[in-house]
Amino acid sequence: MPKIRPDIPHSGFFLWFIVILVIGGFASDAQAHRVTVFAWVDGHMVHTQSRFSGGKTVQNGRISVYDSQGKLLLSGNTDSDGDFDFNLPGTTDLRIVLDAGMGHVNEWVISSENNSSSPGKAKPSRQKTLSPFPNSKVASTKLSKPSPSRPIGLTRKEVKAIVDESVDNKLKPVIKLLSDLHNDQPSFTDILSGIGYILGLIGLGAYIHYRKKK
Amino acid sequence: MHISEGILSGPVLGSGIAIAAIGTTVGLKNLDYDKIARAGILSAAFFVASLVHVPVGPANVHLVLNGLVGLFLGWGAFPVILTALILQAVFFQFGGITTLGVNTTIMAVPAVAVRYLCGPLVWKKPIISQVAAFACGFTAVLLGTILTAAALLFTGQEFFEITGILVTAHLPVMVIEGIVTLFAVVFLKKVQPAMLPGFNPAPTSSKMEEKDAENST
Repeated sequence: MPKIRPDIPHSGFFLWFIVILVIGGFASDAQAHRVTVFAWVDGHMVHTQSRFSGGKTVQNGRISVYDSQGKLLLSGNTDSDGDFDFNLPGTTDLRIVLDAGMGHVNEWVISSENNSSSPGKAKPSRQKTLSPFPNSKVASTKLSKPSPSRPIGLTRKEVKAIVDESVDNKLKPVIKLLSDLHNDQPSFTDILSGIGYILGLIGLGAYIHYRKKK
Repeated sequence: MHISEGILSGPVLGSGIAIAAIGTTVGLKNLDYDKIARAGILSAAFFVASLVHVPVGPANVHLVLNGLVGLFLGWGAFPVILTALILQAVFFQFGGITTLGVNTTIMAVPAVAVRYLCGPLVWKKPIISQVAAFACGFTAVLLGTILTAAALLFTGQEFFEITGILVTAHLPVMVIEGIVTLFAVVFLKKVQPAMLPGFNPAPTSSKMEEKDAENST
């Protein structure tokens, strides 16, 4: 019968095993069990993006939207891109909860400061109708020679709508970037730190063992 | 298989913590000095395994390796898995701090179970041994998914429905872990048979004495 020896010399097998796992983890994009939901207000719409850690989209995940009192306002499922859009329900804090199934839940809060101006103004101003009052003060003082057949001139509301839209378009890449940043995956540093802690615990165990012996 | 924070009710979290606490206590008692290096390395393997995503099927699943941990450590799987889960919660935000107890229970109870179910068969004829090793990896994940479904049962989800979804999603993982455990057992039988359960039928105390005698010389 072979003699029992401590494991340490033969731990090489498992060390290689871990090395292979780490490499495998990175080769397969290191996707893992964590979901994130990211939401932002765009005019009168709220867009949400749901991803697993590593960037895989959450398909058919359940999105529930609650107000500050915890009342369910609306709910729906994410599409194949992990997106779910809904109309801004009102000027309240929104708590957007994603349930990706299998016990994976996360949430994102939009405070009312971010959307306070939206519901009131957005719907009517978005329609880009010409001003019902072509000869209002703003229009007549700013613009020269309005042609009689077609009323020219923009109300404050319309200018604001146009600016909002333009800014929203300009901000799209920034929002995309933020969404990508928000959805970070475990870095190599995290993995090494975790393994380091475990090695430290082995050391602690050995220390206590030898202390007892003395 | 990591349940996030904020969905489980108090009683479920509480019983999870209670089971994990009992298991960890028993596990730490069993974990003598000989096994510390083994436990640490298996803990590291478990910690990293959750990053290996299995790109089969629509769901987002990863390796668990609880069968492997359980086969080599028995009750020691509890402290090992708890440690790895704490680090995963802190570094990767998998699961969460409040759900640590439940998640430990979900993964460590099957680990201990397969040790008793498949462990004794490892030293039988090669074919039985290999089937047992495969079953060990496979069953540990299967039991884990069933326990996950049981924990989620109290959140109002239909038990059989969610069990069906979870088991289907984890089927590729079960097969891969079965194969991994099979290779580990076949390899260790040749290289380091002492690591496998049931190799030395002598009680732990005599083993310790032998060790002490060895160290004192």
